[in-house]
Amino acid sequence: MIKFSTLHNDRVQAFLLRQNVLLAINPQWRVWLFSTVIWILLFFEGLQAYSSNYVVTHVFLCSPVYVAGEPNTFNYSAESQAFSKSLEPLIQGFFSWIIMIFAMMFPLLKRSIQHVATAVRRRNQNGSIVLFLVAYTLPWAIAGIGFMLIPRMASVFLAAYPSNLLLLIAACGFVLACLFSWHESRTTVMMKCELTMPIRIDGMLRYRDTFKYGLTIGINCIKMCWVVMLPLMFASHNFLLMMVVSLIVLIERYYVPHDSKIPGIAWLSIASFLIISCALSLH
Amino acid sequence: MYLAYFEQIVAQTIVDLGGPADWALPFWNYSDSSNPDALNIPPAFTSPANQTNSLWMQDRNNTINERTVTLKALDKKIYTSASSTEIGFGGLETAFHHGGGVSGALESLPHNKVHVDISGAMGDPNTAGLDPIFWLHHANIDRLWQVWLNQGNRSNPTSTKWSGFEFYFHDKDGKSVSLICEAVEDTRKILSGYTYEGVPADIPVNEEALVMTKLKSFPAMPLEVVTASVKAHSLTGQKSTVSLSLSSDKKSSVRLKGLAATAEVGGEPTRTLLRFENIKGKGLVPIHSVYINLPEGENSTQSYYAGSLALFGLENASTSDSHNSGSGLTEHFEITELMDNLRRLPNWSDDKLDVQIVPDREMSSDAEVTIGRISLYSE
Repeated sequence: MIKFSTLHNDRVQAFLLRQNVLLAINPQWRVWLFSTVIWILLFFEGLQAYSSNYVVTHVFLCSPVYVAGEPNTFNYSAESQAFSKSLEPLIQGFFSWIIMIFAMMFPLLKRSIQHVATAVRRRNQNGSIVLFLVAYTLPWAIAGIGFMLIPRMASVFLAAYPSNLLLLIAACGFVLACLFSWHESRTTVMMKCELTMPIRIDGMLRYRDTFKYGLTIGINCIKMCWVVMLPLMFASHNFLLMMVVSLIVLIERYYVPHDSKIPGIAWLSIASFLIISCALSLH
Repeated sequence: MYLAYFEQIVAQTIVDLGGPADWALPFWNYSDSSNPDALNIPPAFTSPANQTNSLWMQDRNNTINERTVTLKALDKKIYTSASSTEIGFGGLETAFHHGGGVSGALESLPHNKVHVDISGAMGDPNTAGLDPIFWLHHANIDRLWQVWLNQGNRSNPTSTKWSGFEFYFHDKDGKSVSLICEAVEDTRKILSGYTYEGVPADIPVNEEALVMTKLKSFPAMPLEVVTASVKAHSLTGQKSTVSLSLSSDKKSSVRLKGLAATAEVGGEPTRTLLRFENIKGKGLVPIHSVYINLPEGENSTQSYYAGSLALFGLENASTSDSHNSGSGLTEHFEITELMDNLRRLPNWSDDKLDVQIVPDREMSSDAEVTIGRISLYSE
């Protein structure tokens, strides 16, 4: 019995040691877990909204995704257009935007999180990673104001036109994303996502450098990803579309060469789908 | 891969000019300790030293330093580093690029060091291929890969990201061709096949030993930073010193004193790494020797030698473009044994560590180098 329990303890200890090593080598896993939880919450909230069939004004997670009484997620009824003009959804939308950044962008930060974690002492890792993520989110939050206002202003100016025009604009946005994807400048912009900077390890200098690094990566990330985030907003950041866009961006980031044509083809496919969807809804 | 096609193209040209059909690309074995001239560029490339010699290039150093050709890389048992504080034979998993980030062990030493030590066209990745000695140098690097494998308990990566990565060339007929990494693992199967003199390519793989090596080679806990410089440091072509404080953080200071105690009682010295990060600059920078706690007035003593900084690809790595993020270069030095020895010396201090950086040759006036951070990592 004693031998068995000793052997069992040794195996448990070896297992735990390996897990510790894996977690130390992959500090980004903790952040990815956070993003995964966000996705799960978004999924269940979307499911609830669909089954309830009402305009979702959920404070905590999603901005209006589905329209009252309409199963088609891309119809813009008069009620939703009027609703979209009020201030309340703007505040909710801003919060939803931040949630969207947590879900969509944090999984792309493997290299940067590893750099921060390696640069500082182990006992400062979690705090530094959080500070980095806060600084990273800040430029996205500021940019988000513009990202939300542009579609809202467009919907006001285009109120006299068929409501699906916004969908067409979103489709054009994805065509633009395709063209950017195939442009020679894209790989230069994408390489900046891999940037590292020196981070001091003691005192205020650590906070300063970590914050500065987060801001820099956030700004670089906007330069790379604005071209898909904006059409997503015109499409009222539909949950399914958000998932598909996230998947494509992940594949682009980690699984294909930087000069691959695949992401561009994917953006064109989305644009085509939106145009077809728009055309069908007109009939 | 490009060596094979280069050899094919040159061999065909030689045949077309009426030369022998059995010409093969030679390699420069600069690490051959039995050859007193091993550190000199082969005479065909240096004599006559003028334009009449198509193998001669100007601004080249004809003799390289012994330190730049040591074969510590062969001691590595793993190919791919698991973390940025582990230095594998081949380095970290990265996209294909010509500069930036952390180099693998073989790429760092002797590959980068030889490039920078020879200098001239060889000192810049954008022009290195123009120097004929480039091909002999890289043939040797290719040979060392086989030497590494032949030691046993070593294997190439099995990840398809590595084995399936495709490179494009032109063959002797000018046709566009490609090869994936998997296709070149056995040199006898590349084009018409080749082996290196004295380096067999058919060492049978001991599957059981390989499995045991893989099981035992579970990644180690990454090293943790103990201390780091508080500001960037510029190299001016003169000897410079950076002091790393060991007492700013009480916990680190206690740890370092504890490490010394471990060494004294005969235990394994704690693995320690000296790291130079975010090195940016421009121009051709000579190799800089790095010492720790070098006594005042001394410029070169092996007892304090940590490693050599060879900043091959510095300008490329410092520039943001389609291949580089602009983060600069990173260099590591394993200084476990050195630290263990330094602790026993009378000038050892528990409060600070002095890192001296000494240029091996004169630095040109248009060269600039800034080191973002110098840090000490330990278990």
